[in-house]
Amino acid sequence: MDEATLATLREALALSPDNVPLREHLAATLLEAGRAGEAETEYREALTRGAGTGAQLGLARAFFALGKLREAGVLVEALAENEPNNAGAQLLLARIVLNDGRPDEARERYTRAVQLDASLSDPDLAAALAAGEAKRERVPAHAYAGDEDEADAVETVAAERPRITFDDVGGMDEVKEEIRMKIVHPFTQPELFAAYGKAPGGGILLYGPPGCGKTHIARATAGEISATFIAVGIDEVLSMWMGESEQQLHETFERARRAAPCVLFVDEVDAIGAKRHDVRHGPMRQLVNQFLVELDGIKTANEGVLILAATNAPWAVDDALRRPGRFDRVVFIPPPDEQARVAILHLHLAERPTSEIDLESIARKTKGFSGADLAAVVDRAVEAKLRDSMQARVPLPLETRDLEAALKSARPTTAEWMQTARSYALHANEAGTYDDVLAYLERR
Amino acid sequence: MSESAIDRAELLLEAGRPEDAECEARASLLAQPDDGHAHGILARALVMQGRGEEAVAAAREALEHDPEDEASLLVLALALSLTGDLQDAESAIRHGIAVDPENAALHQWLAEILMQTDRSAEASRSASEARALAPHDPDAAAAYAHALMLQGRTDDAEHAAREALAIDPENDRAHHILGLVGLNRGDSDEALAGFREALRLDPTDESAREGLVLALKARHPVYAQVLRFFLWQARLPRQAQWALLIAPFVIGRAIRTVHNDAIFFPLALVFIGLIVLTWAADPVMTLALLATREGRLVVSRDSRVAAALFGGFIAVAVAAAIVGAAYDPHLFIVTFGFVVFALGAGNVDGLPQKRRKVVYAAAVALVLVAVVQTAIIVAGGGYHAQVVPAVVLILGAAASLWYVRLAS
Repeated sequence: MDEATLATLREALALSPDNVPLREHLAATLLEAGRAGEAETEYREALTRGAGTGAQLGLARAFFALGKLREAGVLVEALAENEPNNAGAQLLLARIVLNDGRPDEARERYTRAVQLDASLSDPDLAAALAAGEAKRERVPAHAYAGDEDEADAVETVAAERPRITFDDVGGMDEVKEEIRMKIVHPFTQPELFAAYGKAPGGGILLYGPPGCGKTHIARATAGEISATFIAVGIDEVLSMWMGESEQQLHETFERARRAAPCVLFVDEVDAIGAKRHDVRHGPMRQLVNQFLVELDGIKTANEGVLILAATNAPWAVDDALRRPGRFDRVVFIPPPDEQARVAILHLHLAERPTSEIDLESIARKTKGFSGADLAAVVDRAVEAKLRDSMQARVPLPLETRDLEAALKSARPTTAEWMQTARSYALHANEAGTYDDVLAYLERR
Repeated sequence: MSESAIDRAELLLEAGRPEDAECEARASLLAQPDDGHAHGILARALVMQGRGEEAVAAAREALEHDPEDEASLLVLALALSLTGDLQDAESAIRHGIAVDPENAALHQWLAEILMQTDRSAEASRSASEARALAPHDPDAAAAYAHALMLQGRTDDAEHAAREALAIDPENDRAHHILGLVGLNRGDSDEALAGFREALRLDPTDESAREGLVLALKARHPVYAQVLRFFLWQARLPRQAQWALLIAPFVIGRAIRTVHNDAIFFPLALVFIGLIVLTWAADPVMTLALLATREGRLVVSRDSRVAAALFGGFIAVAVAAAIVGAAYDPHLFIVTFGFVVFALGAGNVDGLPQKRRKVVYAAAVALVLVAVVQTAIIVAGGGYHAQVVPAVVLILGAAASLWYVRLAS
């Protein structure tokens, strides 16, 4: 579709803004032209002017194209519930659930969509479904011992074999050493640890301000011992298997057990393991209890499963999770130190045109910045440089002063977290949980 | 809103993830814009994020679909409270109570709003109603205790707080009330225990931290009595507080009119002593606290600044007095001006942030005037040269003191 056609459609719409079918036509045209953002705007507008389910489906498609899978899922789920024979909704739902790692349901949806409307047949999607492929990178089934059912079950999990190791994590030497002692060495030198009666396993709770690399270090831990890495969060437990959250949590642990050696990473553990005192709702309490059962491995031993959890709010985590055998080690992941900041800046500046940049100098000026903050600084500097380059009509390399200019309007986002953590460290530091925070604050 | 989406959004709210719940609710509303329940959930998610204006809009939308829904009326009231519109918040809650008079949560929130509008007697009645309707709810019992405390009914407040703790020993608000009970009784140990426990349970509770600071200071018996006086005074009606402020001047004037200096001067001295004591007690005790480890950890930055100002001006005043006694008594004017100013500056932490700047500016100005005054004295300037800076110094210090008193 060329610009002239779009312009004509827009002109016509300007003359009769309440013409909903015309607006839907424009939205569909935009979506077809790959301009999903503009299509989203038009579909929204159409819906506010009383458009029907066609616009809903169109909006869901626009969301899907924009990668807003949650929004697309909720919208199309409601549509499919109201209109089970809507073939387009079934097809889109098939794509969404496949992306979510539920190939069985995706197959079912796709079959239904094609039954309802044969013209919707999509050979690529059919092939992907037949091969049991999900879009995310997955561990090949043959990587696991056991029968085919097990391999198939693992296939549905967002599992991976990370290639990064601690060498890829800049700075954080103390943290890495702590994880080495707890997780890496028991795996690489099992005899030595067995002689002292220490079996591999157990859990570590990583906590710290957001954007400081908790997930990165968890992934690197798996890479360090060449283990499978499975990540799970509240969204997966609640959104994907509504009504069966405990069962799904159990299955996730089972998959990790089958995939041993495996690092099971529970992100934002304060949601799954919230303080039961604060949770009055039955299902959430049951979920916390199920989590405790899984950590204890009452029915199946967690041998070979290393459980890492991360949270920005350790104070919201149920105390029972910290008992021995569960998350008996609590590790503070502070904002990156100077060495780590140099590494992060180096990473973000890689593959961008740069001249000699004094990374050490920038790192010294960004005390307290999280990895995400540093990325934002680089982004801002790049944007400014792009503007200059467009004016100069030649690509200009990034320089130290560009980063320094970007720094002027940047503030570390970790400050607020540190303030809250300080309060907990001062007034609720039972068993010295937050000693590391106090030590960090004193060093600053 | 589809049933699964409702469950998901509510579970996400329960899991303390209002941002995700908002996302679910908004996406669902795109599919079914007329779903009042979804608007209600969206309003709750927004309230939890502190986004009052948006929450008000969402709650009103929910009420358009069901004007009598008490859950939506409650969330509207909470949203309005966030925007500072307590009058409309109260109306919404009262509407909810009219719809469902046996809803304990509505009565409790009405009590909270009434407490915020200084109507503690009404608040305690509403909280009492909530308590009766939900006898096993520790929050209702703690709210009742709070309302009683604001009325000055210390014993009743203690009783209600202990009832809340019998239901839930980890109710931070009830411990907080016990801290206040201790302060009002001049029992610093009880106050310390209450505030420490409240802070252990909720370390982000700023008012509990402030309570702990007061309790630490109240370990000194003189400060404990000064504090009791202030707490008593704070519970008086506004007019009575003004009367208390003006009464000594009127009485002093009356005594002077009968020319009874034998009575007036000793009384005036006692009165000035008490005034100085009440002004100096806080910064002096803050300085004392800063000498301890716990004190350094709990005293706020604002209080540190105030205490530092007080300490700095007093130190210079003392130095000026010593030098004045040794060389030139004219320097006593600097001593007097700085002492008066220090009394105000030491309490600057009680002022809103913007108004503090006036005091900081006055501090700089007075230091400059004092330097000029000292230079004139050292240079042997006569009476006429000294009188202007001296008057500026004294009037400036007195004006600053009154400014702090009236702006607090």
